[in-house]
Amino acid sequence: MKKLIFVVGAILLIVLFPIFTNNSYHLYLMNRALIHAILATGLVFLTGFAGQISLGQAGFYAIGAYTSAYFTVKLGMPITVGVIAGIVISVVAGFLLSIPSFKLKAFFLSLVTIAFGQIVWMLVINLTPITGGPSGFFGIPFYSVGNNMLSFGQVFWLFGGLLFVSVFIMYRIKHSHFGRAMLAMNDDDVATETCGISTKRLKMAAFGFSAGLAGLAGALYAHLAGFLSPEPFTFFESSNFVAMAVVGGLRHMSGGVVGGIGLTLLPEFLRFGGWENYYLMVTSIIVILIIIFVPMGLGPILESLFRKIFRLKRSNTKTL
Amino acid sequence: MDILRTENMTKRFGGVVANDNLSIGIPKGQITALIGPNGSGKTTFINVATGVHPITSGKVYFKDQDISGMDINKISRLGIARTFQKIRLFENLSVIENVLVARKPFYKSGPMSVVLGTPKFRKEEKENKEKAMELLKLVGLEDRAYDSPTGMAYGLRRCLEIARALALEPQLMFLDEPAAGMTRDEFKVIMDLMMILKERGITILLVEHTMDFIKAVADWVYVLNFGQVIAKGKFDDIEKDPLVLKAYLGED
Amino acid sequence: MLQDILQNIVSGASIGATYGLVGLGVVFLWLTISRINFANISSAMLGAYLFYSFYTQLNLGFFISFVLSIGVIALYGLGLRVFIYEPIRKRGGGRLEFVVATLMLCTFWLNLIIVVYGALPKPFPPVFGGSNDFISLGGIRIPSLYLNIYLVIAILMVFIYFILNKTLIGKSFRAAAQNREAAALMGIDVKVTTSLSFIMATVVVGIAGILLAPIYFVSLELGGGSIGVKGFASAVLGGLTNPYGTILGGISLGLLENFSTLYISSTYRDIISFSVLVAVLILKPSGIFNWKRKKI
Repeated sequence: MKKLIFVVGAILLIVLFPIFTNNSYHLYLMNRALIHAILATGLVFLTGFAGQISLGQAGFYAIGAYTSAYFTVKLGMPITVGVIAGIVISVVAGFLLSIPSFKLKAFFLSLVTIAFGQIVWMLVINLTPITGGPSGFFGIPFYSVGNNMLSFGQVFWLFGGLLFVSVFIMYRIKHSHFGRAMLAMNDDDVATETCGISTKRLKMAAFGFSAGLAGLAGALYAHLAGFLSPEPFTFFESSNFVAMAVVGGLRHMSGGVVGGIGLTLLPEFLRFGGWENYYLMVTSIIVILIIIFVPMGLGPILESLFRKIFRLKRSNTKTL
Repeated sequence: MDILRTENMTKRFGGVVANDNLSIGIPKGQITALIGPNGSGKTTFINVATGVHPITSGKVYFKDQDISGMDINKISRLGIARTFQKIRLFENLSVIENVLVARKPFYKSGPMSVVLGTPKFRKEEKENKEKAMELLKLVGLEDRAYDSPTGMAYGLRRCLEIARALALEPQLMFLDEPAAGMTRDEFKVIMDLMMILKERGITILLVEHTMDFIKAVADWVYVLNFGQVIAKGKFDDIEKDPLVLKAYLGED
Repeated sequence: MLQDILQNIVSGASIGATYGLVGLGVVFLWLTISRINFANISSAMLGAYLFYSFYTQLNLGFFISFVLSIGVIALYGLGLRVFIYEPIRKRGGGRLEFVVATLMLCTFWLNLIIVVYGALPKPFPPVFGGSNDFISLGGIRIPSLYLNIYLVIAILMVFIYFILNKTLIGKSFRAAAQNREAAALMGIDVKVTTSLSFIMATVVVGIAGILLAPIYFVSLELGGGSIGVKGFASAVLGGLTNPYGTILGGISLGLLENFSTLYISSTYRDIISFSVLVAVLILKPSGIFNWKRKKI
């Protein structure tokens, strides 16, 4: 029942949003927010469930974006093919990045992932024939059906649908033998291994999944923005992505959605609310305050609000 | 017939030799106890045999298959389960989920059927939950299946760890000090449990300090000191062995 | 050619040694609280901008400017413990919370600097020697800038050696690292030790910022990921626990960078140093320059 209400609520929100506004900047922003929500959902999976850390998620984001751009512009493929190629190459990169995690933990792993993100970023800048380098990659096709370009509102529904599918996949995986194994691994590597589970394969899967979502997000961004420059793929973006997952709630299904949308919109609210010089500063302070005072993240809080509104009881048996 | 045997198994930590050329056989279907003073290499033996620590030299055979150097999870899937000296449960999972984790090797559904929620996967999930519930009944935890293991009584936590190990359907179980820190009643529960397991044909290797316990359950005893076997045999014979007495008394 | 090589050694080692100082900021915190401050590099940027303000804008002279900058940075280090580390720890936040909070802090300082000073780099006053000051040494001309960097780092290292080996601080660092409760029982004030480690960590990076400013200008780059990661790399080369190994790690990183620029290409310079970092992490995470010491 709880599930159903969530599903209905999410669908309603997604369908209704474009009806309330015609402002194309607002719609563009909401589309960016959905992209970030997809990416942050992958990080919730990787960090909150599987217990691994990545401070190089912008690397996968870049791989997805530039791959899809290259496939559509230079190879003349349709957008769908480009996006799928972006996901596939990101997943492969994710598998590769999981290899250090077999041996390394916490800080050491986060350093490797930072280095990965930086290496991708430098490749973006220096591999000018493929990426366009600092001057950018132009002329990336926008979403269209046949010869009709989609409106921002329609793109919003598309992204919303993809976000929903991503969260749904994560939900199903979490509530299965795979998800249990990942949560177990998050608690205790060795004990998980003695249960006959290969933690290496689990780590590969977790990195692959989160890289795939980051690649999807990047590809979606490329076709939304129409051009790519190296700026959105820096280390600071990676740290913003992790912040989204943490602020939303790492151990929570809705964490990525809440954090991704929240931290995309918050700076914009501040910017247009009279803080235009300080909005990035204030955003980082707010994130720090949330981390200190709401270590569980905002996701669980929103969910209990939701439950109050719909007068739902918290089920006392844990779902399996 | 020995279900597990080691040949010149040696484990060094830096300069310290924890297991020194151990050649041990664990007879099938029986309860074997591994005893010895603190630091004599008992836990190291379990850790090396289950792959938790890589072996320095020598071989470990399980049912005549060389398992030295195998990954922990592979060894576990062959049918070797264990508990830990310091109980290691998954604190973020419920009691029944803890047991279900060790059922994962029996699932055949891939990620695709999980995401689609195919009938095959649902059936598998149902069967494994039933199996887990059965094991919880065996150790007397069926009422707490959906509780968190955090904060449960020590004896119950130990029982849950044993139930989790049993979920692997092992042929051989390593129990590292299962009765340590237990009350008299809990002690009895573990002892009964071990006899049930033995009846079911599960071989047990037990590391224990409590002599009453070993006397009551063990069919065969190895005594370790400084990483070497100093005596082996039935408990009653071992008890009188001068070398053993010296090792234990010399410690004090 | 020989001239080139020698000059690259001199400049690479001196820049590398400052990377090592940045790494020391990581090491000091790791020794006591086993946490990584991802805003470590922000102290370098703050140090450089503070010095710029005191020296260039307020004309306070080298010595006063230097001492004032260090003083402010030390206060900042204390604030880091009081306002970030302790509140997170008290509310049950773990390593990841500290990581993200400090990452955000890094963004905060960058944006604060942009608001206060603007985004454009500022010229650093030639207090360590201008671009035309050279000292001739056996036929090679060494910019006096690099010699002064060596001098400052040498003094600093002697000072750090003294603190860690000849005072109670070193002992309390080691005790706190091993076991907070045991340290408390031994009569070591864990709070004071933690505070000291935060202060030493930020101050040493702040000084590194002032030393790097003549090369990188007083710019946002000093608070950015690139130099920050080089600091982390130095610390990792020193196994996160060996202060002298960290400096050596930084020096080798600086040399490697300079020679890859000389022989390969400057565009791939950073990629090479990152690849080395990843290789060390994967092949020998305990560090390369991490010899066993009887005491810290």
